[in-house]
Amino acid sequence: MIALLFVLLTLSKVLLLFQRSMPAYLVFGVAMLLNVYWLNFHITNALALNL
Amino acid sequence: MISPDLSRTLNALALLVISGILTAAFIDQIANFDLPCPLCLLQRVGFVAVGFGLCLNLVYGPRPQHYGIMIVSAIIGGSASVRQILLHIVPGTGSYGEPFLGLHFYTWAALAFFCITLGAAVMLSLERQVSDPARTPVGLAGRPLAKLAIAVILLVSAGNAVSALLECGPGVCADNPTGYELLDEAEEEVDRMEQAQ
Repeated sequence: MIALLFVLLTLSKVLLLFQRSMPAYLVFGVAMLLNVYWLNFHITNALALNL
Repeated sequence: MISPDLSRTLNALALLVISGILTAAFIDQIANFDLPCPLCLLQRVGFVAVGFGLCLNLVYGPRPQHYGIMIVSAIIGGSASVRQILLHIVPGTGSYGEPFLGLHFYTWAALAFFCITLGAAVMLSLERQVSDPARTPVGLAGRPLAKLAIAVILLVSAGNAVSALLECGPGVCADNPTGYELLDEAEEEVDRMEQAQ
């Protein structure tokens, strides 16, 4: 779900505040992978394509 | 050409602008009940992801890798914007949401992502902002503007998380959302319980 992306990105910024750069990058990376997955899903969704 | 301190100031201002964009979308969502579609939400995710790159610059000092993260995030977010533009570019296919100053929000988003990419590219071309990592102060001490910018983006990001959860629930977001799914389900459950009594 897309809400999870916002949660992960918020968490990554909180980790940065505590100067935990590696966990922050990791969480951000996971968020971006999910982002691309959801982008692909909604771009190719049959309902969206049905103009 | 540009000092690390000036670079950090510019990054903080850019983060505030990103937060302003997300806040404007939020205000439109709440005031006009203009619920974001899945592609709209993914564009918001793109802006928040760009904010991560800006936060990196604020906390650890400007680095090319951080600008690279911003560019990649802007490209992904911009892909969603361009996709939404193309869905409605043929005359007669309608549009999503009300236009603002003549353009729809997804068109404004595409322009914003383009400007972010351009801005990051310009900043990447300015060398003196990148200083020796061993001598670059890490953290936000003595940087009230940076603290404010990060606090605002955290607030907006968390708010979007709550809003997206209420709108979509735990599953896939509806392509044409008409209400907040979780709130509607809760209301139906309350009605069912009242009727059962």
